[in-house]
Amino acid sequence: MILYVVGRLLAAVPTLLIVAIFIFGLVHIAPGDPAILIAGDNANPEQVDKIRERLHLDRSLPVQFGIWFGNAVTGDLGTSVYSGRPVTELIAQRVEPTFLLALYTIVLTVIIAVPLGTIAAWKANGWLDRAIMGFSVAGFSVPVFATSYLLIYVFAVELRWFPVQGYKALSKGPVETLVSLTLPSIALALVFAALIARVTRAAVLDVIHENFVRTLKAKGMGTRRILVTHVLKTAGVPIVTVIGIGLAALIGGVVVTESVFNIPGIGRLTVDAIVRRDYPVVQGIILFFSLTLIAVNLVVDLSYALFDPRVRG
Amino acid sequence: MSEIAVAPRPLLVDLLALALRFLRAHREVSVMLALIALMALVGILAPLLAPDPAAINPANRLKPPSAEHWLGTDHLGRDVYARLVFGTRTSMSVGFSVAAATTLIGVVIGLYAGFARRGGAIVMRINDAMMSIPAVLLAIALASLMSQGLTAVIVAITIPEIPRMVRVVRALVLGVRQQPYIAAAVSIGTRGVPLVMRHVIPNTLGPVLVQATYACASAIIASAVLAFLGVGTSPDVPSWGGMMADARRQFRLHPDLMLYPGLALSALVLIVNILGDRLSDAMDPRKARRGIL
Amino acid sequence: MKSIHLAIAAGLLAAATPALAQDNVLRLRMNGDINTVDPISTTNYTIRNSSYLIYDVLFALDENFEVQPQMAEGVEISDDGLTYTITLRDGLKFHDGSDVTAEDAVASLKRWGKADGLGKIMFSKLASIEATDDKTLVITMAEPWAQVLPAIGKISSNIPVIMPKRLAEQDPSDPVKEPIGSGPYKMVVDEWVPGSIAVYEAFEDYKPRSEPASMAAGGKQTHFDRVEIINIPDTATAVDALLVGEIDWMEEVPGDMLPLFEGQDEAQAVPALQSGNSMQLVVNHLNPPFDNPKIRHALQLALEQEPFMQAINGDNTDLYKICGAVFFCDTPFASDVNTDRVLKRDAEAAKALLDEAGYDGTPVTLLHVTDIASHDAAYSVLKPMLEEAGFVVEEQITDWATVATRRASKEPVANGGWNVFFTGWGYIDQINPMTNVYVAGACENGWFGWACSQELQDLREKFAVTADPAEQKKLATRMQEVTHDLVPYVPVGQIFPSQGLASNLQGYIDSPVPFFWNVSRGE
Repeated sequence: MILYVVGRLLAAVPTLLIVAIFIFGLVHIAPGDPAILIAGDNANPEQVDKIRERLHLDRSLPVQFGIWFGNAVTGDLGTSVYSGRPVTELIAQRVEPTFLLALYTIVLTVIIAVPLGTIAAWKANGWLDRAIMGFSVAGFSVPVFATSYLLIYVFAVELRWFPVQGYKALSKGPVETLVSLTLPSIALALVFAALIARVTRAAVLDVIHENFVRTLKAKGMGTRRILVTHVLKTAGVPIVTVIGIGLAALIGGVVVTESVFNIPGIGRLTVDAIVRRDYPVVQGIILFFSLTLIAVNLVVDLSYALFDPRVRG
Repeated sequence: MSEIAVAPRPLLVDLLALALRFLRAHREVSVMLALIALMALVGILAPLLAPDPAAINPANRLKPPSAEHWLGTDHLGRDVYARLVFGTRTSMSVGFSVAAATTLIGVVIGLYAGFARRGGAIVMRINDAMMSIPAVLLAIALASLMSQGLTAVIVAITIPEIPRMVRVVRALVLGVRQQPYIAAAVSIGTRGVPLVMRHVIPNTLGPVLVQATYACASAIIASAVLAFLGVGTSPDVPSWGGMMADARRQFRLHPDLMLYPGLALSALVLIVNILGDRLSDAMDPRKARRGIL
Repeated sequence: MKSIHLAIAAGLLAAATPALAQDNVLRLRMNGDINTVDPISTTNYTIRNSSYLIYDVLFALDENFEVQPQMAEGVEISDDGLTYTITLRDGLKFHDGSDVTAEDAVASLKRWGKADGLGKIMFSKLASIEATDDKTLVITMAEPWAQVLPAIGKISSNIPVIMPKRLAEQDPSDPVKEPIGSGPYKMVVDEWVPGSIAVYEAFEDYKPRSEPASMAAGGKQTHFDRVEIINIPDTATAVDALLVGEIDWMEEVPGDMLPLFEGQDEAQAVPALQSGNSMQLVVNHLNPPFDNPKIRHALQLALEQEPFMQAINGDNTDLYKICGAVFFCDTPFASDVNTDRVLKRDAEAAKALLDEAGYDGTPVTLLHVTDIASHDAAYSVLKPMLEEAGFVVEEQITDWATVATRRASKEPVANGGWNVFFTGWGYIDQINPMTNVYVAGACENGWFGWACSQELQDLREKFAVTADPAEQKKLATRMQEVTHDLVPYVPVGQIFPSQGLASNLQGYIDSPVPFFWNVSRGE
């Protein structure tokens, strides 16, 4: 088991290196000079040159990569070109909202999607199934920002149940945090639930026809009880997988919702950094995201091993 | 298992016949394809159906529908109806270009990764690395890198889509390679490109098509998201995503400006998604046709 | 589905009466974000605005645009006009607890003199600047220069803020990281999240002047314990936040959203007549076709302001002004001279002029910026205007970061250079012939576009040494005449954006620069 985990971690190293090189190359080829953006409208060329020198932007790309990578290994991701603060600090400041937003979304999603998917499978091809699946396809056919504006208008501006924007930190009380994240989480969950409902339906359909279910049914156990106690348990594995894979898609959605709802999370930090050509931040974040995804996939794989003894070997 | 995968047929004519038979058997697939064809037709005939979508008239902005402007005008006084009609072109060309490019490149890389031993491993390593970068973030970075409109958007969305296709194709190839008929074909001397063309591609076609429709749908949404974030849109080329992004400030006062392109975009994505689902069901009847419990 | 959401909503409802802005906090949404605490290292207006919280200045402009002492007790000018003896007020303290001394002021002014445009000119004419004791600094000029007090009393970027000597010794290109000033608010560094929020607390040791507040001058009374500058990137979201009371102040409400302020009493839109800005199409004199004066004249003939202003401001005609004056309309140096060249559109005349100039169809490259709404609209309007007048236009879609970089390039367009770009300048920078970048005529050493005119350079030299208003007016008028003949830029209109203010705020200062003192929450 430990060997397996260590092996997987080691295997992730080249992946990270490839990601690092790719991202580094990408952001540095982009036109646009951060030094000029920092200097502002009134600056003269010497001021810009001085800034460029201070940020090592006058060095060659491989040298810049070397400096950056050498520091990254020791946990130093450099300082933001835009704000002059350490990248690790910027990321750390913004992990909480994004993490909670993602978590809240996943919880909402599971609450919405797993029952719906199970019902759809149970009533497969009936009108209820069609309705649920219709909703789920519609779920990822609407851009998340459109849903977001609608939610803000109805629940924040008209009804005033939730704030329009902003994030309340956990340190100010978990209830406030939850309130401030509700609308963005719903906006995201609508998309994500569509995906999970489909997967749940497929997974449950697969299990329903397994022999043990037939046996249980023959023994006279009620359909609902079979569904809840036995089928869902077995169907759990593929559902967990997709939640893991869906995380990448979720991060994409987070970028948009964080912008609309003004949540100071990592998604917005990324978009801002790209627009401002803040290379160290872009590199740091993408590396952070890749690490997270790799870690999540590892956890997902490990949970297979727990669910399914065959993998453990 | 599926109709397409029954037997490897080499000839294009046979494939066509097969496709026709398939369509006749699957009514919903045909309906969705017909709807897509209809929308494509609207896109192609756009110049006949609508006035100039780029003609600005700042003095006549944000006007309600009238005989002259059927759906009113936007914040620059452009005809909303015309932009909606011409937007069909953009959204469809983004969707289908991305699907086509993803399929083409993904299949080639996927085949290589499936057949080459050592090279395959390296390719998959790079593939995994690419997949660990969130697609939207990568697309934003790419789009702002190129900054030149529609082509940039297509490329920016295609690159993050490719790894998924590669994975699908490779898995299929690995599966197909185990099949007895491949061994049989190899034993009678079929190798290399002919082997792939005759035996592998036809047997992976179904799932690849399904994956392509999903790529198409997600590309259309992604282009709207990029437009929303203000990267890689070309204001000259009307697009539904761009229209929705422009309508943001007007949302409270003129929600229809976001509604029309939103409906059009969602309808197209919905149609493509349903097409993908039905194709997938048709390829694997086991999934859909049982409801015993 | 729905019922699940409703249940969750209902469950949270008890706690969902959000802490609206009723506490003693002033919440602001500026146009930009706080990414640095050093207003000398950047000219960014949002940094300038927030710096007025942290830092104080020796002199400041009052509402009549006259220089008044702020940290200074007073100033004595020698009879020959060369020596300025400035004494500091008693009891000035920095946020780190130390006293403000003349040494600090000297170091701060020196640093400012390395970065600011006007500051550099001043320091080039300066014989010495020194602290003679803790409270006194003496500036001695090498030659008479009438701009000393206007320069160190300037209200816009870079403002000559005073910080401790140890920080002011840093080179201006290396931003100061520690926000230590002697202003009415001190920054809470721990709560600062760049890109999201910056927090300030009232500085208990701040001693406001006894005079009433008058623009940047007078007593800075702090009625709020805490000021938060919140960066809300999405304008639509920001307006909604203001309308439900989550924020108190929004620097700029887009014209299209003004109707939302009707029929509600949470917030009001206040036209900010003084804090207007202007938009210009900047022309590159180094690259064809605009290296040819006749073709530049054709460009002037090709444009008119109204469509640009309509596209940006909508039907709100009180939000903009058609104005051809180089130093803004309705200002001391406003003038109509030579404005026909920039106000009258005549596409046929432009075509004829292009023919006469032998225009060979060299394309005008438009770097169409899409990430700033007003720029996006302006480029959309510009393209057909140019084409109708016979220009060949090539459009590239891009973002501000790219244009801000490319505009510094003197290369041909194909090698990363440029032809034209839109930008905006604020009222306060434009009305002053010493700070308006378009009247410098400084050729290769000037601002982007590198328009070249010896006469403009001479006019500015003369302007700087005269204190006679009539003479200044005469020089400024001539500057405008030369400028419009030279075409460093084409003005496309003057804009008066509306500020959004919570209805219960009172006592806010109408000024070209928003100030956050003196304002309080009424009932």
